[in-house]
Amino acid sequence: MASSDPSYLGVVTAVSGSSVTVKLSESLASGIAIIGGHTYRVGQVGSFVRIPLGYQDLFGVVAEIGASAAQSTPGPKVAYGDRWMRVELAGEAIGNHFERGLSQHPNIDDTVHIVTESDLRRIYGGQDENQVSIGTLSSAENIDVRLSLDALVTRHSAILGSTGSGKSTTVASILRSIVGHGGEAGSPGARILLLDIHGEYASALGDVAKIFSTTPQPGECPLYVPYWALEAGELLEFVAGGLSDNQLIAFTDKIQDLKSERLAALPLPGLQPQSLTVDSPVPFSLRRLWYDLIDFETATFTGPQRDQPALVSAGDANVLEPPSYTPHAMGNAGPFLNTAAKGIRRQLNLLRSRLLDRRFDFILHPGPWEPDLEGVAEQDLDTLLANWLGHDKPLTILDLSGVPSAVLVRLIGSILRIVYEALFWSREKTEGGVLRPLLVVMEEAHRYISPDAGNVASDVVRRIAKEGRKYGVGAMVVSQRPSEIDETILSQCGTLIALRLSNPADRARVKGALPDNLSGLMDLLPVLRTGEAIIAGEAARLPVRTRVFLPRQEHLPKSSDPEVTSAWSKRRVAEGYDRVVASWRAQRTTAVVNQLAIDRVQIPPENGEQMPDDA
Amino acid sequence: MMRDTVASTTVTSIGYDEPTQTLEVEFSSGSIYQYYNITAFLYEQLMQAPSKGQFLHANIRNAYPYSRVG
Repeated sequence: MASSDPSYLGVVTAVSGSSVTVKLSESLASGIAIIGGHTYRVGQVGSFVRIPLGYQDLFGVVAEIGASAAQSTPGPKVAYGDRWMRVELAGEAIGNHFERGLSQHPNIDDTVHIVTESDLRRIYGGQDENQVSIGTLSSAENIDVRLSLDALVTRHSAILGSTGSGKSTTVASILRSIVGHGGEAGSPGARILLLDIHGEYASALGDVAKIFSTTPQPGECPLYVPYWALEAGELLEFVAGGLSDNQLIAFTDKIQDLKSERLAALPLPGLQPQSLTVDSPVPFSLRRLWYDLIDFETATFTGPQRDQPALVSAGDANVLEPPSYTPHAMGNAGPFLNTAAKGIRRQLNLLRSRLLDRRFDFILHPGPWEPDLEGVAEQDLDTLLANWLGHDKPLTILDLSGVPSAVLVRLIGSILRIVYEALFWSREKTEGGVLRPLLVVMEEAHRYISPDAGNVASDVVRRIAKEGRKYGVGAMVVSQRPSEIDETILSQCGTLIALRLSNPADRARVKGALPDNLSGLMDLLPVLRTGEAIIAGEAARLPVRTRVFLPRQEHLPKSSDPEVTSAWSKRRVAEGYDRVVASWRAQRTTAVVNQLAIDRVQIPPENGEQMPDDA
Repeated sequence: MMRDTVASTTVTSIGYDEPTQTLEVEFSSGSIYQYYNITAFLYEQLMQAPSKGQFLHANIRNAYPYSRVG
């Protein structure tokens, strides 16, 4: 027995499938081994062991440790106090080449060794270009944990953990590791789109990101999602509500007419008039759609042929004023109703109120992308995509914190659809997804890809998860409720980064997504420290318990929880609930009761003045 | 809320509307706040204070209702 080898742990006593029982050596009672000047803790659940078999080394993860003998094994009774551990084998190495999977099994009395830094270097293959270091091993903080960036992006990943387990910090830290710390090497040409539901990341990643927001702060860009880039069915469901087949035809026919009219007047590159469909991303005016349809619905006619419109006033499409006709009358004199009317007045009224609702401005009145009545918009989709994806920062943050939850799902679905369609069809161009892959980070994913949230967003996320790999679009799903996430999407995530999770249903879902023999490792989930994660799957060579790098203080995501104690400890100052109601009615957080035109005098800058930033 | 004492925010411009006792302050971050029920006397004190930011912080910010307006 090689008991003089400091890395020696014990011998194999039982093998069943991929699980191996090891009897620990008595010389390790202190629980600490010093190898090559580094201290290693022996027998930590989640740490690695090595079993040399001739030219090969088998590697495994410690899943369970006990102090009494493994009772199920027959044989001579072992003295009390003997320690054993159960190891789940994960892979093998020949020379410096590590592979997942096993070609042979260990046998009884084979020696088991602790995995040292040099062994880990073998597993992680040195400093390959595609490896990103994201943290350190929990058991040995001098060893960096590296993930394969290729597998992390293209095979998708999921970051799962309860509230307060350090999810946002982990996301910020991993993204920062990918794009490179400050001047350090990284991937300066990375293309990452982050859907930031709570507005936490602007402070954490602002220096490497371009930020879009529906309520832009100084230095941020306004977020617009032009409605005319959506599929007609999706758009109509939003603006007109439920439609019967006949009503849907009335709307889609009109949209098709408006789009082909627009195309005839001013051709768009790449689009042939004969290949135009109702779903083609061609600008058209929703006001015009509403006006033309309401005109047809409410028209009355006079004259012997019943073909003279009894128009009183023409109305105005621009201000959504309907045309007015002489009311119809019974008898033979008329005016008569339009017998071809489609019965869609209720839906048209909904369309009108949607167009007037300020909450939907970013989608229905998308700034420079809003077409006029002729369907001509100041900007086309190319500038929109260039803004989102083609700037000199590696990261784009879409801050959706100001979006009402009623439209959040639809908005995210629309953004993802626009981005995915564009990258899908441009896959043979240098800007496309294959030659410049895109990573989409989806925060709070359970809010929009759960079965309850409907299909608007989960359809496109499911498409990204299933086929995004081929077209260079990767997904990183971040959630605190893995049990609510669509199962197809979670099962497509090749890499799982699981932080502390206490809810049993959530843990079961995470366990279910892993290979059976590693589920023992996931029993650690409730006791992980904040910022500690178990990483398993394609990007990690071995399942590993990791401490993710903590970003610098100024690069931490902003936790936006109100400070209850300090707020309640102050005496209440005079409150004006008229201001509250004014903001509610205006659907704007910055609304005031009295619009005052106050002239402000400029104050010269003073030196050394310190103020809290939320004043 | 975390008080970020590293960031220094200075006041760029100040305005006052006496009939409604509203003080409007623009900070160098670009955000504009209105403070309500501010008497003309307090406003004059503010304008005479050597450091507007410190005066705002000490005497106005935690004592009067305010709202972000831009």
